Amino acid sequence: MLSEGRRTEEVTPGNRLSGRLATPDIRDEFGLETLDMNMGPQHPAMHGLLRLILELDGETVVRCDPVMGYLHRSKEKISENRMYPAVIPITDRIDYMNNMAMEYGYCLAVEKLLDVELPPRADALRALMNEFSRIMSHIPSIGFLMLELGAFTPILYAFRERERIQGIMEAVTGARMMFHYIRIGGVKADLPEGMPEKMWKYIEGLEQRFDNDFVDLIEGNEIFRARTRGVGKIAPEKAVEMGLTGVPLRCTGVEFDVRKHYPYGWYKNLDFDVVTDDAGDVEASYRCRIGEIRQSIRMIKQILENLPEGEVMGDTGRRLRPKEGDGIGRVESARGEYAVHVVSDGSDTPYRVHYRTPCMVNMQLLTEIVPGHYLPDIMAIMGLIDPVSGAWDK
Amino acid sequence: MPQLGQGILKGMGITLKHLFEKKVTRQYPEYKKQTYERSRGMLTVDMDRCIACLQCMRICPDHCISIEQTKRDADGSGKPKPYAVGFVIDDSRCMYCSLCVEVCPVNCIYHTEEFEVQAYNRLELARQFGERPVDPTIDPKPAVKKKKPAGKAAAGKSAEGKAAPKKAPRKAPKKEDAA
Repeated sequence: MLSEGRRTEEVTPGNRLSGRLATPDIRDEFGLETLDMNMGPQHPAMHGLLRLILELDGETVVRCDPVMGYLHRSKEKISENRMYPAVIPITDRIDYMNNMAMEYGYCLAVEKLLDVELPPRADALRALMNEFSRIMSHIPSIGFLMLELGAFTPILYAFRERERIQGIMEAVTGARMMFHYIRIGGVKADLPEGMPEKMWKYIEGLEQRFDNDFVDLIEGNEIFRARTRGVGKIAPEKAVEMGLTGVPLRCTGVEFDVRKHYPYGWYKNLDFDVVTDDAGDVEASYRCRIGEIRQSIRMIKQILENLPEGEVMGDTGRRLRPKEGDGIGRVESARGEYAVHVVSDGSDTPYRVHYRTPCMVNMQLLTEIVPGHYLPDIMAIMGLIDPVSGAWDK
Repeated sequence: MPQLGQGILKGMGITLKHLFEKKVTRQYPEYKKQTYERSRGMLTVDMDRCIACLQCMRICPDHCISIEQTKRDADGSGKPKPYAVGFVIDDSRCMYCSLCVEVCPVNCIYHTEEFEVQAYNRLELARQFGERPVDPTIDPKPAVKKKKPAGKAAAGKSAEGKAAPKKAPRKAPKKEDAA
């Protein structure tokens, strides 16, 4: 897993955590030393709490070792000690940029255990809010990428849009980030009065502002192109081999989207494209995210156009006691495939809950593709992966 | 191939255009954001309606609600009913998930619009609603009933670790005959 550097000795967890390089002999054939450096966990530009142990040769990275676990709060263990409905607020806190998909995966898994039939309006509302949540996550991702490359303006526009979507979310779900909207067997509540019109108006405005503020501002910029084109290049075979999902996989040209290939909920009825790009670098990942936001807007319009009528909550009974067995819920979150495995022993708390988060898997890219790049390119590659520390540490 | 610098100039034009637009920043303490009907703020309890069914205490994921229950003939019907003499909501634990609001059968616990909470001491955040204060430092962990490990073999897991009592027994409600 570690790159071929000048190491003569295996890195063991002990000396890796001590922050010291495992190589006793750090001189190369010209007698020049490499420098080891810590980046993070409290780096201003770092995504959350991640520590990278870097070995530098001048300004070129020779080796990059991510150290995770600084935000580990044992969410899987907490989930075992809570009743089934009370786990949903915990799943909100896994990927705190795209909470709705996290709730969705857990609820799908428990619904498989319960064999509950969902009313069509609940499915449609789930998909609608899920797509809003995806836009809410993708727009700041682009902003963060630009911020780390030195452009300050896009993050302001990104947060302006995020703030407006948060207003919609608060009116519908009651909270700005930790929604707790999707419930086992349906959703919490129907849309408030006049909300579909408000959403439609916002989405149409977003389409226009999006072209102005993001595409025109970023895409033609020479500095952006110079910093991202060809940086962090991944081969499609390598991406499949490493098990990447989401944008890092799709930007290499591999077409895989859980919504399309293993459709769940209302996504069976929606018409959308899987956005791919063949370059496989940071610029391609940016183009993929832009394309996915466009597809999300398209999906939201389709859902709002024919929103089915009816109840929003299926019949699950008062006390949830699923039968013995297990259920898996797979969803496409903004960062890739997110799956939840729930094992039930027949009681009212889960026996075991496992969260498969895409960030944890996509993080392998750091050891694989960072060596050979310049030090400032690490932040661009972090923008490609776009990890969230709540999700990789769980 | 566009000329070098053209993209940057175009971007500058966009930022310049935004300079003359309406400001979107709110100066927070002076101008507060709009709250919605469903906004989840601090919890409050209407003690006149509470029937001390303890459902909110049991569902709460963070154990932030503690209720001291007793039997009392409050409505004069001659039959003692459960009555909450002590009711505390610890705001330092609450995560505003609104599960307690949903399970309440008489809608006596609900969210307010207030969201700004501050105190010098963590214990100050525990708000008492009953006539007798409850010690908020005692963790009101409700006992979750697990099924007997007979069916566990079917799930293919050993029952050793799970069958052990994982939670400290809840502090038993004090028996006081006020009636």
